[in-house]
Amino acid sequence: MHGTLSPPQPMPIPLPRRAVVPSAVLGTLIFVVAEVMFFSGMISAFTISRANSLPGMWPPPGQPRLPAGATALNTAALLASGALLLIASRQWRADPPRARWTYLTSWLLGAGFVVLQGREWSALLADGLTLTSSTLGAFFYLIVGAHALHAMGALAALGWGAVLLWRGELTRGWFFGTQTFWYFVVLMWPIVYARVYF
Amino acid sequence: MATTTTRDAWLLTMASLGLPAPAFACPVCGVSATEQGQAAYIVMSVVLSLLPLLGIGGLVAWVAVRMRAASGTAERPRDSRRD
Repeated sequence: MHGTLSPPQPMPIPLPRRAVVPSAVLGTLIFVVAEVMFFSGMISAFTISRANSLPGMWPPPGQPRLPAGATALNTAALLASGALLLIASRQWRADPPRARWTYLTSWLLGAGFVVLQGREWSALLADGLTLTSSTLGAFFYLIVGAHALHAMGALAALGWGAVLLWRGELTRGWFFGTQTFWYFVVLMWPIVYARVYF
Repeated sequence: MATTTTRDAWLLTMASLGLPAPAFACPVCGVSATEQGQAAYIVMSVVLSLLPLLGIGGLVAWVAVRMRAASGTAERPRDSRRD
């Protein structure tokens, strides 16, 4: 009744799919490109305003000088934080628990940067540099404040990453996504520092 | 008729390129009191024009390089960690 059955053919095994770029990293990078344009617009406006000032009128008379020397320490802390996060990333790839303390130190240096910036702001406000006191004050608080907001957002994400790392639940997507955003914060700062403080 | 209008528009556009001073988009920045101000305006215009192209172009190029690299190592074992 039935014909001879042919031997069963082996089903082709699909090759495992691997993301070329983790979705979190790609999404963060697209966001970072938009953020770069956001900062570029503000820095551009500041540069043109400053260039249009009359000779001897920048910084505006009666306004305090920005503490470029003291801010160099904050800058060093932020750059060290970025370098430590890179080391933590390599440690995490090899053996996740090894990255814990490097990661935490990186976070603490980043938090230190924000705290030192806050102290600097309170001193400048006490000296009379406010958002409405001059063009310098308006641009300073706008640009540096926008950067500080980004730094705090990134620190919150990195902080949650630290919790996940301690629990052994940190995923590639969360780590590399937040890492990408932190590098943006770290690398944007020297540009802001060089442009606004000098 | 349409061809003539298109040609006229094209000629008008080309002719406007010979008059850069009135073509400044920002009347405050372009007519700066100082040469330094005008130079800053032009430099920042160039930077702001090129930056998005560099950003998006760089991102696309980087993904393309990663795809090429991944296609060469497709048979490597997958990382067991979760994405």
